[in-house]
Amino acid sequence: MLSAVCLGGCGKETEPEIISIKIGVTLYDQYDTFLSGLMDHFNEYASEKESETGITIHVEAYNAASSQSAQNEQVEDMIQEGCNVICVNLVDRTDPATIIDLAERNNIPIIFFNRELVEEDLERWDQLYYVGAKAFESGIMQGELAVDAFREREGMDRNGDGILQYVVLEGEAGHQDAIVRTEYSVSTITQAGIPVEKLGNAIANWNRAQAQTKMSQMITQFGDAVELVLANNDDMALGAIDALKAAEVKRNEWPVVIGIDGTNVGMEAVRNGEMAGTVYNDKEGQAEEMLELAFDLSTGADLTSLQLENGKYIRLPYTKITAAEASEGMEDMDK
Amino acid sequence: MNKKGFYFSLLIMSLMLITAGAAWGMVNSNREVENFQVSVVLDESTNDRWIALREGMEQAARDNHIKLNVVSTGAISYTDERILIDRELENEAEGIVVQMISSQDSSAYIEELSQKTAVILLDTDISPEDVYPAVTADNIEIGRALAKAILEDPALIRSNIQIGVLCGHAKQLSMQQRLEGLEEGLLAEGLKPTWILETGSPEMTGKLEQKMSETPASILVSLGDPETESAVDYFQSQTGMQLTTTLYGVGCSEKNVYFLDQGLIRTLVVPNEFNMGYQSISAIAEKLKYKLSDPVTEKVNYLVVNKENLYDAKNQKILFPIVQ
Amino acid sequence: MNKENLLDKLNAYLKKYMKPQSIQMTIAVSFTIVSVACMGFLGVMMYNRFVNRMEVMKAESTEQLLNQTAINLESYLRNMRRISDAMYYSAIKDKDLATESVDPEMTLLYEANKDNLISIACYSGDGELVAAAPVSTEKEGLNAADQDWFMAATEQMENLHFSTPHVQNLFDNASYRYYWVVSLSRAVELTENGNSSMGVLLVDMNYSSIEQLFKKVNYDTSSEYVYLMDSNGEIIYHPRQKLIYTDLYQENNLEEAKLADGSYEEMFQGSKRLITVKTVSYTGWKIVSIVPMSSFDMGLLGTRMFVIMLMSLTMLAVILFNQLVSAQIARPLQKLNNSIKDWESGNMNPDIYVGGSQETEHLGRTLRSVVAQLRQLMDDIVVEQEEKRKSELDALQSQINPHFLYNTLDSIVWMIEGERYDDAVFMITQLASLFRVSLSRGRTIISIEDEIRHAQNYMNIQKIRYKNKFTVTFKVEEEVLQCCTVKLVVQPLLENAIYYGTEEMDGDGEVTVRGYRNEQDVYLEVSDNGLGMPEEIVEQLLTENNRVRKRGSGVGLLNVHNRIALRFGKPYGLEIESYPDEGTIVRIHLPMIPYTQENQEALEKGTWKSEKEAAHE
Repeated sequence: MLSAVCLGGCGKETEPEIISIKIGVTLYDQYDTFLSGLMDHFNEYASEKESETGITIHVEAYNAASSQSAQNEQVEDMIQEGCNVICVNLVDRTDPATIIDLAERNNIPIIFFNRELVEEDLERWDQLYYVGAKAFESGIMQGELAVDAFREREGMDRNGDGILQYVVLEGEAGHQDAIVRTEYSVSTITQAGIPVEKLGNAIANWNRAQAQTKMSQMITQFGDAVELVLANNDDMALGAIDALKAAEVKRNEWPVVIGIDGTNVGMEAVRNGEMAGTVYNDKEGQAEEMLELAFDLSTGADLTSLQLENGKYIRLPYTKITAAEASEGMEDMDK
Repeated sequence: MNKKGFYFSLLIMSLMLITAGAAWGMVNSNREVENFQVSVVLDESTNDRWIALREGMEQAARDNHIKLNVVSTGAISYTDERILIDRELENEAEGIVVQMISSQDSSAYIEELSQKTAVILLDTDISPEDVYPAVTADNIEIGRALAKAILEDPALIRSNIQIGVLCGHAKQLSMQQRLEGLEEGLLAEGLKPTWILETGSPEMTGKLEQKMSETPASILVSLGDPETESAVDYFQSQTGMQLTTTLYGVGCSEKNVYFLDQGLIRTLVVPNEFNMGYQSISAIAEKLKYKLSDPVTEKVNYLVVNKENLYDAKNQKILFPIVQ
Repeated sequence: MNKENLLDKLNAYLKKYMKPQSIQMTIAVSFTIVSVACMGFLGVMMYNRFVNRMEVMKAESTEQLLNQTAINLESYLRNMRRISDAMYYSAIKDKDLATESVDPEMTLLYEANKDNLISIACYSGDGELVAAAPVSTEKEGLNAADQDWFMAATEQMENLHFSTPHVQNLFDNASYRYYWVVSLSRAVELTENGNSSMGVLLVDMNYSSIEQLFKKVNYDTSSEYVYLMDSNGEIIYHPRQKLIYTDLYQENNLEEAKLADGSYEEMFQGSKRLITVKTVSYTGWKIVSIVPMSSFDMGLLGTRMFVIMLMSLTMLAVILFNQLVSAQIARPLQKLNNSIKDWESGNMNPDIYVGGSQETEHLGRTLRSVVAQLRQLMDDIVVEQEEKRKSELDALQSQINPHFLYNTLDSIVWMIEGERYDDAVFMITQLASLFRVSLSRGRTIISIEDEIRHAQNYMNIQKIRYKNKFTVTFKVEEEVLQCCTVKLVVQPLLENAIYYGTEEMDGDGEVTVRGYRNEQDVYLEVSDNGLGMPEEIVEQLLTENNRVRKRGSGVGLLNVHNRIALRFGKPYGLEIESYPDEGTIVRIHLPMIPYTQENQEALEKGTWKSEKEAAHE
């Protein structure tokens, strides 16, 4: 008993100062524009934090290439390499069981990000966290952008029937952001009193090329009847624009295209007017929060300053981006 | 033999005994628990209404290592039943669980049977009551619950109440007790049955039709599951006619539950037959395992169910059998 | 202090009980104690190790079972989600319900999965049925929007929701069938005439699929079982589900629902049990395995018995073997010890055991040679003593009674003075002859002839001295004359005969000396006609401690007897017959040994052996 106390006491005094931490990150697909942007910021903040605290931060990034089993193996590897904390961008958000079991067995905290798992899974262990955005906000804002565009832009209702004909380009089937963004953007438009008609929808899995293919099909199917394209992210919105360009639709006959995420290319498209707007998903904020959380977990610091929701969630708000804001943002960036 | 030699051989002997004992224990440690064979004799045992009961019995048989044999029967008579029991005893049944068709004059027979084998009475006791171990529903309370359901029915039209009662196997004490409870409950409001029909199930529908045309009842009370089904069949046959009769019944078959769900039956009192089955087999298992034990009469509870509370979490768990 | 006390006690105890024991006992007991202690220790260790191993294995196998079950359940649930996904993304989402029907897809999906499904149904946001398979006749007066699964789907639209088992209450089934189902519901986007609205897609899974899955796990009828509950502790599957529903059985599900994954020990209703919890992904359901410790003990009973059997059997073998080994070691020593005991108890010629181990054999051999040497020494001593005694006795015998010599010389002097020269010459001649025989050149063994001459010389002198108060007759057979005898044996008898037999007879004394042979023995007899002796005295005459005063030549009868016995052996010596008032006969009993140079020398050295003895050897 006595010796235990002494050990505890002595241990405290001689506890070695942490000089380096290792953070593992695995992405469902490193070619996802939003995520690669997020990762860039993450690495940037990591080096900033490094110089700020004097603690070396190693970031190990992996690409799961859309395979959940590959991701499971990566997590196992990262644990073996001695990562202090692992950030996981799930491939299949309904199937995190293997990763959670691995983490729990090895007592390595996990931060899930961008792809939200169900609460039941997150509750399975107390060292699981989620960093993401307030999904429904993005849908609502996208809807608002569409409403604004409809009201401000004359000629948007090209056939003049007072009804907004639209198509939806959806992200992965079952992805919470895809479901929520689609549902809320459309319901926001209807709630604003604008009658809508859905001409079609297509699942393009967040992917620009797939979106282009799907959009081309719809252009052939509906011709110029499409007045609004609601894309679940910027890449798909850009895919739609690619399709319009490929179909050689005249610039003034383009439907209004609205994306979400505010990736750099997306912002560029907004600024040059190809895209009517986008909803900025705060990737800088998310990257920063994720790094802070990972850092605190690695160093065993107190987490209260991070203001975790239910002790597990960090959710950041979205911002609406139109051409004006986009140029401002660009200027900021230039500075 | 000297003292040392004596102690030495004692040591050797005891070690040999220990060895033999341990070897015996080792060989016997994996032996299966012995199984008892118990036969169950029921009226119309293949009828749906016994599903819950049989589920309970099978569960208890599993728990107590009993080989259960529910004798397949149709509608049986008082004499059929005794023949069946004798046949089961010949087939080396070690215990008999029996639903007596007649509660009268059965005392001597049960006494004789008890000498030969372990006996548990099921569903109905015999008169005199509480002499032999029985597992039954609380029948008087079921009768009272029926009366209460009738009297507290907000849709009850108090004028010109004509109450018909379907009593089935009137020789069974359970029926008598339900009737007793019902009459007692009704009498509190000064009501009494207008007519009582005492017939076995095959002829019941016909008799009921006849009685209803003679003296139409505004309230029909059936005291057993087959009687309720007969009443339902009667209502079903009266298609096209405006129903002026409200049916209150006792039962648990899926058919009765279905017609309760349909609204044809106003209130159904459901004895907890799963428990009845489980407890009867548990009781006989105890009696077979510990010869000296003396099981006592046990009463299982019941549910009062209507269309509204049929799907309550608690009720549906008891009402609907899980086995498919 | 206490410790010292204890040590003292132990010491005292040891002293009390560690009395010297036999070698076999010591070896057997110590070997047995050591080996039994080792066996016991080993047995307990092995048993403990086995039990630990069993426990670990049990925990591992339970965990494996749970993981397997979880995997099966997860894959089953994933399949159900896939059905829902397929229905939604491949049928509902693409179709404008105003113009198109989802029924063919729905029926196809149902048919493809009908083993696991009860029904698939799609409802609009206000609970109206859009499509359903396989049955689509709704119950009257039913609003699906009031049901739990519907509300769960609309509340959290981005997820799929699994309900707890319940009875499906949607469709009218005139065959009175009711189904236990687990509902999987999700919010879907329905498009009608271009207007999208939210609806709910319901996939009612057949509860018996889950039941089957768990029945397989609970197949063996021991008291161990696995059950399933949701995250709030509501039971989804339990082998005794109905018993729990009807309050006949209790389960600790509400407490166990709070546990994280892992193994725990808990006390429930007075019995200790090992519980293992595993959470199923996505649903948050928990699979719990219950292993009562008693069932564990039951399983170990056989092993315990086996260990006990093995231990007691080994002990038995060890004890018997020890007994054998110790006996092997101790038996030669015991035999040797017995020889020594035999020796101790007086057997001077013990048969010393030689055998057993090398050491014991050496011991035996040494002891045997020691005994032989000792016996040799003792024999030597005996011979020496005998010789000494003989020579002592002989010396005594050879002494000339000075009184006799004086008297004789006095008589001679007196004769010479009285000028009886012839008589004097006779006397001196007789005396010289007497001396010559007495001396016999230092020999002890002489011929009977010489002995008789010596007796005659003596008697001649005495006759003169006693003035012929007695008469003496010699009747010696011729054949005995040339036999051996110890010298000076007759003279003491004659002295006695004169003294006792004739002194008081006043001239009537008669002394007869006879010599004869009886078979292989020679007898020389001196008889008188004196007063004789009572029998008691006769008996005492030849014993060492007689109190009879010895007179005469002072050497006495005993001396003569002993000398003969010493020379020729026990059976030989004197025999005395005496009859009061009649006289006394003293008989010398001798073996008949011809007087030859050889025999004489052998007898002289004590190496002579009688014929009997010689024959014996």
